[in-house]
Amino acid sequence: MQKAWRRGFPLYIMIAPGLLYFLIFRYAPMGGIILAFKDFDPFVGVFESSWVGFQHFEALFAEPDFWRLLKNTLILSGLNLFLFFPAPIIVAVLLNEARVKWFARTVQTVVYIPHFVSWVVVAGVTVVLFATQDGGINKLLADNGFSRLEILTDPSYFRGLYLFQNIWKEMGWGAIIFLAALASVNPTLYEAAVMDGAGRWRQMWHITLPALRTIIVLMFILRLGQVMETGFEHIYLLQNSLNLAVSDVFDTYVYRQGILQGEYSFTTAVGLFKSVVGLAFVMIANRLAKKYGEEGVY
Amino acid sequence: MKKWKALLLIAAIMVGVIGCSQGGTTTVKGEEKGTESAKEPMSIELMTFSFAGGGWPEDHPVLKAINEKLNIDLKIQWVPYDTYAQKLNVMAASNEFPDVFMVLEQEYNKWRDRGIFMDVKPELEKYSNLSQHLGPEGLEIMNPKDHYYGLPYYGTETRDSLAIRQDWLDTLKLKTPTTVDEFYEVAKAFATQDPDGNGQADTTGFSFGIVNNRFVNIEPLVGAFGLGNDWSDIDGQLVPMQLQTEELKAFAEFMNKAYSEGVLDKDFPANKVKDSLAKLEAGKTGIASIVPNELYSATIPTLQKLIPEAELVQLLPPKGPNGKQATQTTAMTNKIVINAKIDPAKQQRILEMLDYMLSDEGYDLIKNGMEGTHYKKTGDNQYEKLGAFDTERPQLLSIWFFRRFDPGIQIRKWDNQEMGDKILSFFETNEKYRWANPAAGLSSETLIKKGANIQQKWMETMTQVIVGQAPFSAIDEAAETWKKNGGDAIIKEMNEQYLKLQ
Repeated sequence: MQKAWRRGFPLYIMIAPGLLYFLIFRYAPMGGIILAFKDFDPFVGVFESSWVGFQHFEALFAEPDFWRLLKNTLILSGLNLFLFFPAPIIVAVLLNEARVKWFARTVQTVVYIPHFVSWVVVAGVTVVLFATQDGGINKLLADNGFSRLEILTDPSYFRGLYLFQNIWKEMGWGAIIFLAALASVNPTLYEAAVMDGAGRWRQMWHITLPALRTIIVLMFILRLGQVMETGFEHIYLLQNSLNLAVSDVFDTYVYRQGILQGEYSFTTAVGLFKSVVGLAFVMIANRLAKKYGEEGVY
Repeated sequence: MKKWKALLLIAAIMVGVIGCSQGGTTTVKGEEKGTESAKEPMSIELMTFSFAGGGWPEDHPVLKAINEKLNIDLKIQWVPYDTYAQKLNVMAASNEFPDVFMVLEQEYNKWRDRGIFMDVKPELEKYSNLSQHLGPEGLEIMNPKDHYYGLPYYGTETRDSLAIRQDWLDTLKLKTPTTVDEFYEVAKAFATQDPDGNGQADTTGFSFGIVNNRFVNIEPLVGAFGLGNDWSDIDGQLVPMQLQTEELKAFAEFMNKAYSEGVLDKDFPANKVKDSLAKLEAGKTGIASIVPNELYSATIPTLQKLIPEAELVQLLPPKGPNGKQATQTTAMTNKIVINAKIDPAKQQRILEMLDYMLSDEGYDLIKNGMEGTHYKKTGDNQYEKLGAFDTERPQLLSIWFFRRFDPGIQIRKWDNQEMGDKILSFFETNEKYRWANPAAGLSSETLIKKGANIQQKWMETMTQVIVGQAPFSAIDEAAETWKKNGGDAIIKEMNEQYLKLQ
């Protein structure tokens, strides 16, 4: 026993920072969940605040806007899951196919730079380009006799704009993990395939994509955990009173209730509800993945 | 969970900060001498809001001058106005506030009786500058009779005004509009008859914005149609504007026409508080709300840099269908409060600091800056501004934190008499069209809890009606929804409070 302890000691030391990180920043704050079951008053403190049971959850489900919030959240999430999610994979596969090294590297750098641009800047540029009255694109359209596009205020453009901005900003960054997976593919597999007479498409279908399968499933399941997270900053910056019907989501609702109106307990309950939904999605997806012979996340 | 992590982190930082600041607190010595420099050095945390350009760097000369004068170490946290309410609520969540800070109306009402703001009423007589330069109406609003839990942040109640491009009127040979109908015709001509003569249809008649789900910078039109400034007193009862559906329909009809005919800036739902002014300054729109204090020093120079022949003059509030005229009117509802939980010795030092800021010497410093650095003396009562005034902006504390009840707050020593008079005459003219909110400073529990959400829903419908996505009858439905989701309770609670004051 003692011998094992001594031998493992350097390893425990190495684990310690990571372990502490999770305990302090991931597990300890979970204690805050109790706020969802209390009527938290910051001036008397967490422990003196009275217990209210499930009152905040009842209020949430009785909220007249609840279904609209849920619908908008799930639709935007669905767009992210089914239309945004494949984008980085496509980028990775295409970059992998590019045989000219400098070209692949240049493209990779160019597509992942937008990741470092903040949403405020992205939204600002969008306004400069698309504002109905003075936006560059609308001016060009109007000067040439076309009608103006109300991209920012017409609700039917909102979801498309949201998805497009997501893809533009995060596509390259998201591709990195898939590129890493592709780098580990043994080149002899490709050589063997070429000898067997496989063309580009065949190689991609039989070698590249199967090599990515595990990581794709893994990433998909992890993403499902964030099914209720739609990116507060991004949506908040695009929101105005004309597109609320499609842009009001739980994240912006929590901001309004919790931060602007100081309903801390109620919004903790909303946050907990979001997490529970996300967890349920992860568990279901994980079970399905296992059923079809994949590894899953746990 | 993300929110919790953030709160925890903020809490940790705040504990550290407060801990440090309290570390410097010791009992005041050398009282018998009474000179500031004899006192212990003390660090004071101050928080207030900031607007365009942000706050000062930590080594700002005015800050240094105050620190040396009072032997304090003043640390100022400047928080952008757009996120100030958010900042206060996050701080409240961890129950850790700075030593002295600005509080907005809703938060002040919400926390006033929670024992977190110091009662300054008993202290006022000790501080002659505070009692002399703060008006009683400002001290009393939102406070119980015997306690003042905060000091007022002075604001000129009828400050802003509409302005119109006189050169455009001249070019198109139009008269200054005096009624809303004439306003419409002029605005339409601005939008369609190419007043800037560049051959492109790139101008609009007027512009405004929607901020925090309120119509802003268009108050004269809102009032002209008979709507209240949030609330109206009708036969002694407070009535919210949401329920003035007939007036709302007339207003919405006007706006809907303006929107569909291109008279109104198409981007109004996405405009932020300063956007309509920026469009006026860029020569894109002919009528917008201006801040007289900045008209001659910023707005007109910016516009004329682009269009040298541009001329911008005050537009008196147009008369509505029933002859009503209104100007933007704001109540003094922001408060400067002192943290009740800090060491009493420190509270006194803060009061001293505030008192100094309103003294002749201190007020001169925070309003005009430092002689030799920000301006220079050229003769008897003759001063000249130096370039550093514009780059270092020594006036920030006086415009964004604390000041005397002084309508000429933005008129400096070196400004010529004529310009100062022009600005003051704006306020005098506006005063005639005062459009006060009878419920200013009142609060209601339901309003605090649900107000933001139901207001947002209501404004959503209003905007849809204006752009033609919803019929005018939707205004009635929106009023019903507003009432049902909390509005009824708000009306009841507000009227109870209102009666108490009568």
